[in-house]
Amino acid sequence: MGAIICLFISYSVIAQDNPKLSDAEVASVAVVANQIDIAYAEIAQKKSKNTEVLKFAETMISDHNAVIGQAAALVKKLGVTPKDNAVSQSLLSDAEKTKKMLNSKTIKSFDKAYVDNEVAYHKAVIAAIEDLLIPETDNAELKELLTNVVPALKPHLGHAEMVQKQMSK
Amino acid sequence: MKKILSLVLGFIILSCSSGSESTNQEEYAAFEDQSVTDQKSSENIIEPIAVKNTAHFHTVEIKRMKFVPAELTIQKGDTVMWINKDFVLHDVTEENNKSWTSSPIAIGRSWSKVVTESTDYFCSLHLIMKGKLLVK
Repeated sequence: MGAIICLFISYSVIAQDNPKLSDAEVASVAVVANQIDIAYAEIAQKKSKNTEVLKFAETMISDHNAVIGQAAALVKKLGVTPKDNAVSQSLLSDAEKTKKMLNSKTIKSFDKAYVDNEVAYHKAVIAAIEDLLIPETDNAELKELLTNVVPALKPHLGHAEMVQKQMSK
Repeated sequence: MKKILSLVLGFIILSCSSGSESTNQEEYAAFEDQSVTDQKSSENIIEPIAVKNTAHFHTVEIKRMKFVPAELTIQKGDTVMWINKDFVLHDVTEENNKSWTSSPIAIGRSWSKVVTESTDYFCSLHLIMKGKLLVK
């Protein structure tokens, strides 16, 4: 639950405090958001014994690395250097709290905490990309990349919700 | 490794975005071309895998986290080829008993199978991706 609250806080930070992000800042947010989910998955690989959770975590690492690869290639092409900003900072500081929370869980309670957080995190990230990052982006190719990432994130959310359902049985 | 990958991708995006127009369909085509070029740059020999559909050979494309077409009617003994045109790994796995799987199909690569019975399948890496083969 704490994680969910954190996510809503960070999402509201994204929505309120930053009327305008430059493309370099949008790129930084995109990369950081993917790195955070990889970090969560790496904790899952250490702590979980549940096959479904481990498979999900593996997919998160592989897919989010693929997205980072796309973003890295694009910023290189555009000659943009991702620029640290209040939104990426707030995502990172919330992620630190969530990582602490996940690391503090017992093996027994970890899976639910991880999967609940994945559901909430993907919801928040999808909403942030659709409602904030895409509208804020000026460069057409960066906009296109963000637009193409959404159809990849929605199945992650559906997948996380399936694992969540299986575990609650 | 990531650096090499992004270099390769950078080159690819550069090389295939020059002609791209702005409809959604065509935008996504950039991703598709990219996977094909990815192979070329690493191996220099492989031609793009073409969609091929004949009386007894059928292609299912995997793109944007979907099997296209998701439902396919075939005859017993036909060959079905799946091409991964997405920018992440996918597999093709029989759904009810997990009796067979392609294992992960690399970006731009394909996997084929002779199909003898109607089958529900899914991607075990992305559980909500599902497809169906109907043998007449």
